Amino acid sequence: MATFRRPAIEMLQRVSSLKAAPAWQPRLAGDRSARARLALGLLCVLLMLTMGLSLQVGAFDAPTLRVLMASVGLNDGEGLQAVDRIVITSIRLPRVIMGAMVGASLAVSGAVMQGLFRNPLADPGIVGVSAGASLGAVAVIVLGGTLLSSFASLAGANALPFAAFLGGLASTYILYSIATREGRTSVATMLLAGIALGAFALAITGLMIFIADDLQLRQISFWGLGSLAGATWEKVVSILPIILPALVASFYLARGLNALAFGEAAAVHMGISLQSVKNTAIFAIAAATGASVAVSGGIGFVGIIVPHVLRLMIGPDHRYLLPASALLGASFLLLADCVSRSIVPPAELPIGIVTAAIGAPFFLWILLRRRGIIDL
Amino acid sequence: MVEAQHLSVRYGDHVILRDIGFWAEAGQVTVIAGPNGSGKTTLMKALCGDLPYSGVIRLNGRDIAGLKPHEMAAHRGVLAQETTLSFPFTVAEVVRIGISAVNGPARDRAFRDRRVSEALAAVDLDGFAGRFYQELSGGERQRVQLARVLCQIWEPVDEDGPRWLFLDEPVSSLDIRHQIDVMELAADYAARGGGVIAVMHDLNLSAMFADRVTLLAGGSVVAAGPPDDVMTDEALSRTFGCRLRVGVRPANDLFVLPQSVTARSAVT
Repeated sequence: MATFRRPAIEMLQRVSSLKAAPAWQPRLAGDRSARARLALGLLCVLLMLTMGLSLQVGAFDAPTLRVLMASVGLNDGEGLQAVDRIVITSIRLPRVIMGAMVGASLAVSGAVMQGLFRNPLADPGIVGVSAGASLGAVAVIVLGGTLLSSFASLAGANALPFAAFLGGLASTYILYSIATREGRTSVATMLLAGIALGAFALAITGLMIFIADDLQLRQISFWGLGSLAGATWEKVVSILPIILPALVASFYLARGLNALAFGEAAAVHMGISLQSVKNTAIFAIAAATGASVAVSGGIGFVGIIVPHVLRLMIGPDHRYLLPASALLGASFLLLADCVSRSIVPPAELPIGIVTAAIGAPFFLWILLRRRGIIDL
Repeated sequence: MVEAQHLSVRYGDHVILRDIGFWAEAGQVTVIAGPNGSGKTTLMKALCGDLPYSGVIRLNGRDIAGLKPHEMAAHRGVLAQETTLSFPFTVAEVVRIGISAVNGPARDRAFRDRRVSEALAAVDLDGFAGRFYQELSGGERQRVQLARVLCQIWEPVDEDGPRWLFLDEPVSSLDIRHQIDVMELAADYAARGGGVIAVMHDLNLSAMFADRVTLLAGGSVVAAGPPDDVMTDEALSRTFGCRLRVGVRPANDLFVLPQSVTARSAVT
């Protein structure tokens, strides 16, 4: 009897081991994708909450919820005053939307640039993209009445944002031409050239400041500190067609950037078209950075802090890191904006001061922590 | 088949490879050997399409100059001498990237998890999936990368022909047991119909596992053929510039014994 039974049992076991994938499969150790997806969900919730908070916080005590409900027809708006509506829908709402867009694009362009340069400390601020954008803006402020008057009158109210965007794009393009030989971009050359270009842009900016008059100086220094205070629906609409394609394009880069973490040669060996990944990445970085610098001035360190924190939480897989950076970048900037608005009411602290105050020590902390691990 | 005809590579005025011919057949382990600076790694890089070169290189009959990276990647995986990662990936994530490199992200999780586990088992790294790559030793990292490359070209043959494993000094950072493991894995890949091209420093391992040896010196091919024909006292001693003796082990494998350093002047 036993001689018959044993093979039968073994066969059954074999069949069941082939078929029986249990309903719940334990995840492979080291696979952080479940955690990453959970984090993405939580970050969506966080963004909702910070947007709500950001609408509520401010020097003026407005009935946010009732105004919002009235504006979509959920109540009749009884007891609301005109000033309530104006504060919420014309001042705070565009500010919240613009803050979220700027925060998302700063964080994503930081993450893309770090992936491209294979260095967690790379940032559009480092390779001169932000400096180029600032130069564009400052040039319009100082020369708008004289040398660049035709440009200023042509672009009208958008002269400053548009010039900043062009400056960012131009500096990225020049950088790219310098660093690319025979269809290949050397990251080391690009980093060093970026530093030189940034210094050069800064020098010309300095020259502009030198010849500026007092009123222009005030404008420049306020713009340069970075602020979301000037948010209007017009600005939101003007940067949307630049920032949105940049964000979408960068999400398509995930696979290429993952492969690039192994080095350029290895990425090609894995089937990545390096040059197209680089082109897409560089354009996305320039567009996102240029547009956000244009409407909000120099807001630093978001692109360093946000991706770094997320890598610690969910790992460096760009398929999750890039969307998570967008969500957390938006939330982070809105929170920083809340702080900047409520620290000295009714005045506002420029948001660039808040992000730099958090970001600069954080940057140094990463640098010190990593000093023993990688050569910088 | 992988073949190169009239292949020359130069850096500026310096000629690294001088009009050489090279070929390797699927189903075999082909070893490229030679002294430092002989052009071994340059030949490997040219075959991978990493370098500008003159001449013709064909992968399974197709000129690689006309192949896109993803077409190349579908038919050959490359293990570099050393791979550093810029971000803290886990071992499982590193190996899984090999799967998505050619198969795209469409495969289901159960498939990917099983493939990752199989690949790690093949390089004797069971239980390493959850470790961080950057915390591993050099030899462990090398085997993780081999697992990733294996995932990229898992089946040695597909409908378009054989697939190729390009190994640049695959065993240089491994202990002796894993040297043998890795070479056996490569030989097994060849036995199942795939092709293996390996740059090797270890002549004894080359003699044990190679079906064909190409000896390079000074940017030219000195000799090419089965180990029995190529690895002779005279050819090896002349190529490497030191006195070497080749013997035969009971299993008919060749072995190479270095001779006393003081005897070098007798050769050169």
